[in-house]
Amino acid sequence: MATYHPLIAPVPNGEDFVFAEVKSSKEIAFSFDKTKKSLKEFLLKPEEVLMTASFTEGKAKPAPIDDTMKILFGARPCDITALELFDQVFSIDYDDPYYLSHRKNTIILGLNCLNLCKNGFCGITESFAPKKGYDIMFTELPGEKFLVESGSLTGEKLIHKSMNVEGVKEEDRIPIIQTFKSMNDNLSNEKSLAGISSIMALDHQALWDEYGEKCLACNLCTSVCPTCWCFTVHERIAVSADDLSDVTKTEKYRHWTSCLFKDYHTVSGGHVFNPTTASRLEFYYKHKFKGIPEKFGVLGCVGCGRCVSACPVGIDIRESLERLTNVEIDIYEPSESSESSESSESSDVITELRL
Amino acid sequence: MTKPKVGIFGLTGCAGCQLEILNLEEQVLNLLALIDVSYWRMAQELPADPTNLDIAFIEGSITNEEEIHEVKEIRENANLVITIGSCAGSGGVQGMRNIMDNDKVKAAAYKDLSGVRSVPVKGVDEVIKVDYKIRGCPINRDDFVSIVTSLLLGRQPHVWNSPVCNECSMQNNDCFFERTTETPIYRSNICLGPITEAGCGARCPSNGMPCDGCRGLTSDPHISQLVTEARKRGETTEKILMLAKRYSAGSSAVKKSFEEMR
Amino acid sequence: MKNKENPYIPFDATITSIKELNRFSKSYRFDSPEIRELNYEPGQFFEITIYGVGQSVIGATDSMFDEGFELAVLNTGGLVSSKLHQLEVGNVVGIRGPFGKPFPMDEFKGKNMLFICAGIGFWPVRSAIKHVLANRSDFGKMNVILGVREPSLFCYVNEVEEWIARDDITVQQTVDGIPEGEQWNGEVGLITVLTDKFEIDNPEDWVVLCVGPPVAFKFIGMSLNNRGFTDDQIYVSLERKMKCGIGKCNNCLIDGRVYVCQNGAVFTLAEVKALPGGLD
Repeated sequence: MATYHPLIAPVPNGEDFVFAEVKSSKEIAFSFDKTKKSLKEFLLKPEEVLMTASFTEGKAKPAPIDDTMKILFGARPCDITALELFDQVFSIDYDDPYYLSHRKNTIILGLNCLNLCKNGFCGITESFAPKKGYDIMFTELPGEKFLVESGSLTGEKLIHKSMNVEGVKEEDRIPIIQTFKSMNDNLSNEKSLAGISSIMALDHQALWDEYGEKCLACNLCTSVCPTCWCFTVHERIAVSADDLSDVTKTEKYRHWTSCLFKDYHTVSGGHVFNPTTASRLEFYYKHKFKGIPEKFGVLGCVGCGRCVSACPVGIDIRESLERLTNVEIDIYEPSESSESSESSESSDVITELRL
Repeated sequence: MTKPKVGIFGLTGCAGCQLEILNLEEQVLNLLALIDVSYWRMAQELPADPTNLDIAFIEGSITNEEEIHEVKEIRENANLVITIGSCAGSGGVQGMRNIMDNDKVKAAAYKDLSGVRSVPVKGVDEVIKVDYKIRGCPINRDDFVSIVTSLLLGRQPHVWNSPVCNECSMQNNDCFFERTTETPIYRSNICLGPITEAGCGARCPSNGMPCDGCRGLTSDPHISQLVTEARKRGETTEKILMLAKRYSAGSSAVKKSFEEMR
Repeated sequence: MKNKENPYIPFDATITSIKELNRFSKSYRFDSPEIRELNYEPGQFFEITIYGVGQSVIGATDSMFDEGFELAVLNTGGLVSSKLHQLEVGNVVGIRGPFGKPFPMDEFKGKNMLFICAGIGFWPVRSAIKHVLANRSDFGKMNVILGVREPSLFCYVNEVEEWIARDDITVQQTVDGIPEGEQWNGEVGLITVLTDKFEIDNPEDWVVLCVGPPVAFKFIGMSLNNRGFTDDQIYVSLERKMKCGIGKCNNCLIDGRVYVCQNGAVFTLAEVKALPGGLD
C-alpha cells in the first residue's frame, strides 16, 4: 500500500511565503518569490535535544532523532546550493548524526527559478543552477506542466513510480531551455566574487565601523541565512511547567546562536574576544567570504538576499560586497506580472509522488 | 534530599507572578514534593513562619519605608533571596512614577495625602543583596520551574545572555521590526526584542505583539542603534526611552546603562 | 575518540580524588573503563560535562605516563567551574575528548626545552613537562619558568620542589606582587623579568612551550625574540569559547577561518601573529 509522507511546501504568509506542512496541493504556492526563511530549520533544528542523562548517575543516551520521512517541495536553487555546504559541514571529520538523519529523511524537491527574485544576487555567487543536493528538480513548463529531473536514486525511483509523468517531448523543452538560458545569461555575467577571499584579508575597518553603528545585533540575518549554521550547546534539567515529575533527568541540547551576540565570543571568566559589534560583523563577513571558501571550497553566501529583506536597519550585503570588491551588483526588482500558476494538473505531479 | 524551606513574599505589585506560580495547577503538587513552603501569604492560612528559610522569593517592588524594613528582615532570615518578576527585579511599571513629577502622581492617586509615605520605587536589589532574579512581567512558569529545580540541585540557573530576537527567530515569527517593502512600511516602529534578555520563549511576538521589554536589558543591549532606527521611523527618543524604561525605572543599573548610551 | 558514531555523547567518569591547588583551583582525578583506555598527548584538551549543569573545556594537566587522568579547574564563578568545585569524590561527570592538536613532542626530541607558564597556563604545560621527565633522555636541557600573581597562587608546589631538587632541570619562579601577610623570598615582577635574563648560547637548539593569557604572549614573545628565539620556535596554546570541540559549532573560530578546537589549540607564535585577533 502506498504511504504518503508529510509534505512541506511554500505557502503564502502575508506578503511573504514560508515553508509549512500542507495537507492538500491547493495550499501550495507554486509561484513564489522565495520563502522568507531558508529551509535549514528542517535539517538543523532551531533547538534539538542531543542526549539525555541522569543528574547523579550520568549514563548519557543519545536522544531519539525524529526520522519521519518528509518531502520538502519548493527548495530554490540557492537553498540547494547551500545544502552542498551544510552536507560538508556536518560530515567532515565527525558525522553529526542529527543533521545527517534529518537530511537523509527529507526528500528535497527543488523548483527552478524562472524569474529573478527580490534582493537576490545568485548570479554573482553562482548559485542558480546546482548540479546536486536535490532528489528531483522541477522546472515549470508552459501549459501547466513541469519538467522533472532526478538528482538522486530516490528521485529517479519517485519519478518512475509517479503516474502522471510522461516522457519529455523535445518541443516541450525548447521554450524552457530558452527561458532558463536567457536568465542564466543574465546572471552569469563577467562579474564574480572570485577574488573575495584575498580581499577579505585586507583592512576594511571603516566599513565595519559604519555597520557597527547601525547593527542591532538582533541575529535576523543569521537566522534566515541558508548558510549560517552556528549553534551553541547547553545542559539543562529536563523539567517544564507541565512536567515536574523527574528532576534528575538532564538534557544536552543545542540551539541556533549568532556570531553577532556578545555571548558567542565570551569565555569563562568574562573575556570577550570580539568586543565590538563592528568586530563581530567583520567576523561574520570573514567567515562567509574567507573562512568557508578556504575550508569547504564554496562561498559562504548563496546570494538569496534573505538577509537584505530581513535586516531591520537596512544593512545590505550587496552594498557591502560592492564596496569590498568594487564589483557592481545589479539590483533586480521582481516583475509584477508573475501570474499564479496553481493548476490542478501541475499540482497532481506532486501529490502523486510516493514511495 | 531534605526539602528546602521556602517563603514567598509579596511587596507592591499586582501579585500576577504569584498567580503564575499558583497556575502551575496539578504541577503545584509536584513542586510541593520538592519544597516545603513555610510562608506564602497569598496561598496559605496562618500560622506561617517566615524565619530560617532556605529560599525567599520576593515579588513586588519597594515603594515605602515599611517595605525597606521588610526586605531587610527577609534577607536576614533566608539563605538565598530570589526576586520574581520585573517589580522586584527592577521596579516594574510603577517605577514610572520615578520619572514623573511625584507630587502630581500622588495628587492624582490620593484625595488625602496625609497617610502617604511613599519613597521612590526601587527594585529589591537596591536595598538588599539578591542572589538571583527571575525576569518577566509576569514571570514565565517554565522559567520559574527550571530555575527552582536548578537551585534545588545546587546548580546556577542558566541565562541566555542573548536578546529575545534569538528565541523569536528560532520560531516561525514574523519580525515586527523588519522592513516589509522598499519604501518602508513597518509592522511596528518599535520592538524591544533586540535589547531585551531572552528566556520567555518570545512570548509576545509569538502572539502578535512587539516585545514589551518586560524582562529587562540583555547583557549587550544595542540601545543607541535601536533608538536611531526607531527615530528614522518617526518615533521620538523620549518615547523610545520611556518604553524601554517602562519596567525598570526602579533600577539604578538600568538607569546607568541608559545614561552611558547618551 | 570514543563514540565516533555520535561525537556529542560523553562517557561517564567517576571522581576518584580531589586536590586543592590554591584557593581558587582544584585538580580532579577520574576513573572509568574508558579513561583506562584513553590516549592523549600534552596540549590536547577535554570537554567535561556536569550533567544538567553545563560543559567546559579543560586541557589535560598530566601526561599519559602518569598514573590516573587529571584535570585542573579554576573556579571562575561560572556555571560549570563553580559547580565542579562543589563536586565530591564518587560523583559522576561526563567526558568527551581528547580534542585538538597536541604539542608535537616527537618533533622536539633532541631539543632543549624551555617551559614558560603564566598563571594557570602552568597546567597544560605541566602535561608536557611530565612527558619530558618521563622520557628525559630524549631531550636536552630543560628549563621551567613559572609566574603567578601572588605567592599563594603557586600550584603543585611539592612537585615543583622535587623538580628544583633534580640536577637535570632548572626551575625559576616569579610573582607579580606580594600581598600583605604573604611570604616570598624569590623574584618579584612579571614573568618577563625571568625571560629577559634567560641565558642561552645556541637559540636554534631550543623549543619554547608557553601558555598563559594571550596578552602575555605579546610581551613574552618580544622578550624571547630579544634573546634570539624566533616565533616559530615558540609554541603557545590559545583559549576560545568552545561548544562542540569537533569543528562544527563555529564558536572557537578566529578571524572567521581558524578553528581553535581543530587547528589548535596549540599554535606556534608565528601562526598566531599571522592571525588577525589571534593575540586578543
